[in-house]
Amino acid sequence: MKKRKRITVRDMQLYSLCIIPMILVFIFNYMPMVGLIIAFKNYKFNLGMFRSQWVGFSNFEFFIKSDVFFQLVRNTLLNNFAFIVFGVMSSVIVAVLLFELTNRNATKIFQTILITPHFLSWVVVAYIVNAILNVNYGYLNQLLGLFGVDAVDWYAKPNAWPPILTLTFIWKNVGMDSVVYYAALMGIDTALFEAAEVDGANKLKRTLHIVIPSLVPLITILTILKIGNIFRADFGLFYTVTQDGASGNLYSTTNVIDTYIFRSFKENASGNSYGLTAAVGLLQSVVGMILVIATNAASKKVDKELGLF
Amino acid sequence: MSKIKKVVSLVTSLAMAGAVTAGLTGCGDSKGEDTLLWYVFGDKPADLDTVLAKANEIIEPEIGMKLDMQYIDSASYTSKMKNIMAAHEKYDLAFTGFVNPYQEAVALGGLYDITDLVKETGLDKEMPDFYLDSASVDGRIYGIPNVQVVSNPVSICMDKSLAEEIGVDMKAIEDAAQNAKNFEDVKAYSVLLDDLFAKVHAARPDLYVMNPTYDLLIDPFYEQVVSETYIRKDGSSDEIVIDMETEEGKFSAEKLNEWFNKGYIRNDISSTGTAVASNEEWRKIAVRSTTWKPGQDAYDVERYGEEQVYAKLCKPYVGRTSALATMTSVGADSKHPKEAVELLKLMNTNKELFNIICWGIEGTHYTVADNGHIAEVENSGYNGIGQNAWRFGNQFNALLLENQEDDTWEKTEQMNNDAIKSKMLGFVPNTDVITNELANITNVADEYKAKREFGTIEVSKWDKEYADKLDKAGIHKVRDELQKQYDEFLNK
Repeated sequence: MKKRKRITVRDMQLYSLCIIPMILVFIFNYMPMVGLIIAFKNYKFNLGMFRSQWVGFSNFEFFIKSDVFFQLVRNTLLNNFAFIVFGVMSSVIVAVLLFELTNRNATKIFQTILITPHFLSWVVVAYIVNAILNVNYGYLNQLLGLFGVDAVDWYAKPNAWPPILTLTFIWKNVGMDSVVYYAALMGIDTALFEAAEVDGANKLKRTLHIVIPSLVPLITILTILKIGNIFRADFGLFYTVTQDGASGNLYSTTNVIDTYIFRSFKENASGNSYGLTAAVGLLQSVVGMILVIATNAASKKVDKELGLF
Repeated sequence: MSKIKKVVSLVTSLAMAGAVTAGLTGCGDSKGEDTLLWYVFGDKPADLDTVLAKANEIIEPEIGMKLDMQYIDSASYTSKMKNIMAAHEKYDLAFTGFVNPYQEAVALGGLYDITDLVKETGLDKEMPDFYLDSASVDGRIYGIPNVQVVSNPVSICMDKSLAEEIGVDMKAIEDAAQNAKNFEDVKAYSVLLDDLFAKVHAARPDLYVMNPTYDLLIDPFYEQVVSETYIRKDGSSDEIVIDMETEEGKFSAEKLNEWFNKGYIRNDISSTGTAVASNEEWRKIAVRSTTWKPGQDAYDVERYGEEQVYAKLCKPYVGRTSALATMTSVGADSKHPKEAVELLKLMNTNKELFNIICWGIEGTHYTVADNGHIAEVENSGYNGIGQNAWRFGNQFNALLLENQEDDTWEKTEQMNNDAIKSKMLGFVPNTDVITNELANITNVADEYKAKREFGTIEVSKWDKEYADKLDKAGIHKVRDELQKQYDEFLNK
């Protein structure tokens, strides 16, 4: 006979350990959700969140019908897509290369060099980028000058920016991202490599048939997490590195949902900036959630083991 | 026994969790009930407490409450005040105007309706009518303009030595601009500008010729209504027009691009976002576009290091929102609105109190010279406050600094009163029905800022696209709505 399950004091001790995190999550992640009703309201300070007038979906309508909607969705998706594809590719490559290094000191040195940019704030990165691209004294323009090419004002060339931003993003994040893959590689059973070597597999074969396959589950999980955030752009990157979209010149390729929310909120003097921006933010989250669920389901279809949940 | 121990440990951990949550919510207000809280922007002076204690010797007997002043740095003032209003903090007074914008705060319901209190206390008699007219929103008043110069004309100025060297006649430019009646006159005036810029560029290639802070071909002739809509300053037409649909607007965009291509405007302006990023950079600009007011000359000598010659591009003009740049409002959740307005009246009438708040305590923070003017005591802990007396009340009540002329305030007041008054004074558009359109238009205008305001890209490459986007964003609906409201206002 099975004993009826009872919560023992031991269980209570464990539960009590969860209490603080749970309270924190409740206070900071669930309670603010009440504020989402602002997205459906014409929010006024003096009336407060609950007494402000309901306006239905008109705040969403404003955004979806506006001319800028297509531009924002396109820029957010395409830029983030490039970040994910090239970001994952480069971090896997870096991780594999680091794994191939046998000299421990060299590994440490390379890792340190690669991770350092991660600790710089975007504002600092923005100045580094400006030092390279500035029309008067930027390194790149000086280099072009040596070949007799006229200086280019990169801050007025919207088409140059998706690659610039992708490079900047990878430069800043590749070190940190590759650490995860590197750790996974360290966990591969060395017997596999020895067996492969005995069978006469060369380095490339070993990488393709042992290293990459053992990384696939991790790549999938991290990619799912990233796709869930594909509607969320890195504000610091898109706002500061482009110098606030260089006064509008770069909006056509770098204006993303997050910078749009920020600018609307900052400048919209027409009175309903709270409602409008809350609506855009909510829309962004809902689409993000749908994307996570969809990608998860899709990868489970491919292989039962691959899903995150 | 061990069971008891476990229970004890469980209770302790629960208590700790409780303490954490209590700590999170337990940050209350510590100031007393008898204190009025006033938010202003700027850096907090070290000696604020001493000065406030002195000020309270005057305030307390008059209104029975004490004043506490909180400084918030100017860069974050607007956003912090928004949070303060959204959180329903019970503050009493706050600066509204060019930071913490007045009309936005009113629209969001963050300010207290003081219309009746202003009449009750007689504060409305302390300033010319047009100030309160500008501040009224649908006939209600939510803030008191801090009286100061409101009619400064758009101007250009340059170093006198440079002007003499290249032999330029600023008076001719001034006359051409001030007397321009139509588009042909504006074109003729622009030729004079072209000539000036070309000469300056040839003489001083090391300097940027001009800064496009003001639009030299639009701002002297047009007043902004809302967003990209404008109306003529000379009152010859009551028609509200759209910037790029006017002859002048298009012409100005083309001229800016021409000037940009000729190297008159700094070539990295789109990434800096402004022609003058710091005070030092003013000296890198030859022909500075700015505004003029009495006493400007003395101020500019210090700022630019040399005597200036000016061309005032239009006559002194009080626009619809000029008086709204510097105001003081009462918080929507204030518990003592009546006392707050009384304090405002006191600040506007009691010169002694006003100057304590502006300059500190005589002897400690400033000294009085023979001519009645004052000099600040260096590093006194209350420096640089009084120069911006318009943060606290009527600037004309402020003591003059040593190098200011005796009649600075009289001249300024004279200029304000004699200035042309916008026909739109007192007209406050109701934007409730065009909120979404305005938000969209702002976004489009942002996108074309570098092109329209700085001239970075050839006009023919973007003007159609811009007009199209503005149209889709609803600019014509906005124009028609504003025109309808304005016609109603004029017929009243």
